[in-house]
Amino acid sequence: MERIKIAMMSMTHGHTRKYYDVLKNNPKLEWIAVSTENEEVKKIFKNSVEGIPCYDSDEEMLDKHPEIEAVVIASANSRHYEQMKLLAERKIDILSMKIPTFDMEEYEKIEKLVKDNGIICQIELECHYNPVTVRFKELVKSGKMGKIYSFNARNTTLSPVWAFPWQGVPELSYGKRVKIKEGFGKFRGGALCDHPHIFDMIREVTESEFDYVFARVAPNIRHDIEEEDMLSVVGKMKNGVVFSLDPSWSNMEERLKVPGPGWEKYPKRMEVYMTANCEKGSVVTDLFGPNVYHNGAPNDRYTVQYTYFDEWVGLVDEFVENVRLRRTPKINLEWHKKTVEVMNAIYESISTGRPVKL
Amino acid sequence: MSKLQKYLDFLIEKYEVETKGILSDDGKKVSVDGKEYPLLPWRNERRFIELKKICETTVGEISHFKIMSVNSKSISLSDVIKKEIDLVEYIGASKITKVFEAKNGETCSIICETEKGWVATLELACSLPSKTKTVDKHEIITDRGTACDRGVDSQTPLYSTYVYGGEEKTFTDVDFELYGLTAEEISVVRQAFEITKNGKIGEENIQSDARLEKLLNCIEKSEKTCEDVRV
Repeated sequence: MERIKIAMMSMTHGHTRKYYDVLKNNPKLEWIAVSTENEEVKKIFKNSVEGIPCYDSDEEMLDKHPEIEAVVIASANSRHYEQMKLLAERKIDILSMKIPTFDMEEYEKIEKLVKDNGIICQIELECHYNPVTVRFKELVKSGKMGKIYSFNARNTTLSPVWAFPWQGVPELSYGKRVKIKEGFGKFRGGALCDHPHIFDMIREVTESEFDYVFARVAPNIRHDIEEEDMLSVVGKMKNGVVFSLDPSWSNMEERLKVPGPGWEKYPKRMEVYMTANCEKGSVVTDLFGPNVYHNGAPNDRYTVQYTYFDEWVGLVDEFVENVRLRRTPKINLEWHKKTVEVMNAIYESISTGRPVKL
Repeated sequence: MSKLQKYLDFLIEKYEVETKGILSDDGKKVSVDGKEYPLLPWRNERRFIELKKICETTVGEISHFKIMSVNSKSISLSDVIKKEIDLVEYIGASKITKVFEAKNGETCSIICETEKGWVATLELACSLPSKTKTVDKHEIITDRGTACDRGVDSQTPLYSTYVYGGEEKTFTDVDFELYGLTAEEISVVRQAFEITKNGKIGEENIQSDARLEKLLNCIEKSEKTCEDVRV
């Protein structure tokens, strides 16, 4: 199989650095170039990776390298549409970060662009490529546990807004400035926008779609940011499975500009737990545990040091196959649309104080 | 072909490695271009890789390295001793200079001193029913904090998946590419793959393995003589 000539755009997304090793080491890829959105991320990139040409604009990179076949879009949600349009018009395949857009009219335009230009567009939901997820799905979907009654999950992290500032700006994260609810003083675009995984995973594991959701925003634990950081969601799937889902930024952080040692105040930066309560018992999982632990440098605080963070290996392997075999990605625009719709419905429920039927 | 060999072949093919590695039937050696290398697979287990990094960069000067490992009767105590004394030297980056062992059946207690002056204590046993999962803990106490592969307030391993109801089960899945293997099996395949790619690691293993045999002899001598034996 000929190597796929791949590039990255913007480099402002929190997941950008997760691609460095895999783009360098996957023998089926040839990393051609990157475009960086500002001087700050350019400097970070150049300090991290050697030998990859770096451009100040997406167009310049694409013009200089017409051989580019595929691009990882690593930008703010608000930039995805224009970048996807640019790539689709040049027939370049796309691996996009978690949320193409929250604007469903824009979402449909992206779907049309992808379809009309015959390109592959894969959405990056990396939890699917975690071995604990594979085990969880195997146990629950095999029927060994009997009928599933409830699904509870949390995807909680520290807040990335200090290192990745666009995530703290409602217009760049959610796409526009919308009050989260009357009298609350915060706007859409925070923790919920950062954590689609559990809303996606429940659909696959229960093999059902959302019936209704009810959500509440809790008081912010970071009073000086503009967006929500704590919320909780319950509801029911169409097949009767009830759920409780927590996508909060509940793990407090040091306000570092570049992620590194000492970022966490709470000992663990990121937690993803999934539980299925079934007819014959329960399956309880921790996607990022067990780990190792220390209370050393830089802050002498009790800290979790992860022993697993390799989701991007499987994710990129699948992208390579999709591109070469012209195969529809597992997490494609059509599948992912319902996840984005439920995230919007959660915001609506918070705003109205009522359950929202889907 | 063994299960582990299939996974090794998968990595060799995926990453386009030109040499071929052949695992021995017992999974203790890999043969590359006709040369046989001993495996020290625990060095490729992620928790030990991270503990080594923490010792190099995050905590301070080691005072005491405490190891507890309780294993199934189907595992040989000398294999457990070999693994754990290698971890002492590998993670702590200091050679053991003195050993003292007290042994009773398939259990033993060992105190080591290293060339940097710190102490390691090993509490080892092969006393559990066959096929029981190993219960172990590696704790490194330094003058700037402690590093450990078990969480605070716990003496036994956590797992990534728990199945409750009927027959209770646990799983820890640590490698997407090698899904289906246990952490111990994964470390065998990962190290065999590393050696297949890079013979230098295999050469280091030959030297380390010879040293471990020497350490095992000293430990045995200590038990027989009831003396602190200089290595």
